[in-house]
Amino acid sequence: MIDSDVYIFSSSNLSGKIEVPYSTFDKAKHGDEAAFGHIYDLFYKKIYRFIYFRVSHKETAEDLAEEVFLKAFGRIGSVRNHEALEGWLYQIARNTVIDYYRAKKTTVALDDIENTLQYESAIIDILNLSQDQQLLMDAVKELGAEQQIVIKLKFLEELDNATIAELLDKTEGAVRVIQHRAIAKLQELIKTKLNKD
Amino acid sequence: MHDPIDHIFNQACRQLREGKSLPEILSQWPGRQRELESLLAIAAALGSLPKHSVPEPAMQRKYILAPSRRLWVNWLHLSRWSALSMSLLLFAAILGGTGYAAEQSVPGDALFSLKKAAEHLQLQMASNPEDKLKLQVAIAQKRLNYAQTVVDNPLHNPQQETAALNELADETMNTANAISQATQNQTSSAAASQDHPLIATLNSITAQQETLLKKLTAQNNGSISKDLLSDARASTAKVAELNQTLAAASNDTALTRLPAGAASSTASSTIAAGITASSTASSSLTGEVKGTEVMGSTASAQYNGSKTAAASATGTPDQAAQDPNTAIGSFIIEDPLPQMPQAGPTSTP
Repeated sequence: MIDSDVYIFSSSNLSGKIEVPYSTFDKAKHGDEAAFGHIYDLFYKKIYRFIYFRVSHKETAEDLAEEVFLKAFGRIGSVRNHEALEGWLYQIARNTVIDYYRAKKTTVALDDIENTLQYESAIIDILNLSQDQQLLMDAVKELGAEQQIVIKLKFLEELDNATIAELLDKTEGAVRVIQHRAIAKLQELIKTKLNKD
Repeated sequence: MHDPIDHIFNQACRQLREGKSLPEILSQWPGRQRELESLLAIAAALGSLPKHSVPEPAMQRKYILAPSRRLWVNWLHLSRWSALSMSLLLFAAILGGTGYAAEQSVPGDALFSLKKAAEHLQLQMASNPEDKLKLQVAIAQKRLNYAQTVVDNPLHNPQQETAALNELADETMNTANAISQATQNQTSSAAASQDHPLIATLNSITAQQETLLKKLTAQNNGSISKDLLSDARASTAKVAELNQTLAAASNDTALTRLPAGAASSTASSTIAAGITASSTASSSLTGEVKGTEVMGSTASAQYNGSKTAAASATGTPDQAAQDPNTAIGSFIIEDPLPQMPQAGPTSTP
């Protein structure tokens, strides 16, 4: 068992799209456990991090991440191509988190888990924000729901556009447009706030 | 043609994340520098917000325990809620909720011994010797799969690796012993033929175990647990011995394929007749492999009786193999050796 030391994930390790060799993907699709093991090695920490930000508990995040790959192992035959694999895994992770909260019979509206920044504090160290950074976070909260989600997934969780598109059931082009408009809106909001001050 | 601004901004963000400097990025789009600069400043500010540290996870690879989708597992006719799961559910009822955790455990985990106990229970509950052997091989295959993923993991965990390979060696030995026992008792078709898929699987598992040991030795700069090495060698030797036994047995039955003129002595004819009778018995045993143990025992008695007649004519098969003057001896000498890693002394003629 790996020691549960606190570890700061390097952005370079977890940002950007992971390239899965087609041969590995094809073997995994046909039941090759070793090939699936490579996929597990490539994606586990990203999926675990995605879940950890939503449950804020290490062991729970580990269990749910293992559940994601257990489900993925049984269903990988349905993935259309190796480029869609990462987004597909994130979808399973998202649904697994939703099922987790549903099983806990939480009264929080499940869609709100994704549609709001209610778990931003799990990602951002809000106690150590500078004044400018706090201004930025306040501006983000004033964005529309869809823009907030894209900004959070892209710039706080460092997911790539293809994965965000899979999660939101949109095209990559649509995600690019939302991203640009959100940043432009933030620019306006920050200017307004600075002018007020 | 100008790219739309959202496309340019996206590319610029990617380059920013890759570590390119702002001037370098902006220089690619001279007509859009002013617009891009302020947008990229916000993107950079978002990216540099202080983030909480995330605890390092323990990667347990529980997908290995998922029901296999491979065809050979279907031979076991195991339903989704396999007898193993039922066994562990029984344990869960007794131990109050640890059954699920035990089912998910892997070598080195605290609850792994519980899982092994459940596997042993399932083996005992197997409806016939053939299914028992198939299950035994399936367990060994699971251990191999897990050991491969652990050894191949670039994040080496020596304790996990040693535990995984120890369990693999144990199950390989258990499987070889089970098939050996079945060979002696003639209770399974797997024990009657070296070409049986279960034997091929066991040989493959053993060969891959050797490969994993070599990898682990190379990773650890030549040093490896002596106990692990000893266990692995013992299991490999056992499998080699099993293959020799099966090869000898198949040589006996292969004599029925010899033309009548090949048996040049009266003793050989007697042996051939005896072997023909035993071959018939073993064929009916194969055909009735899913029958009851009583039927298997009856066929076994017939086979053993015939084999005794053959053995008394020429001595043991090994002795016959050493005698080049008989048709039996010359046939066995020409038979190719089984393709096995040589881990111990062999009785090659």
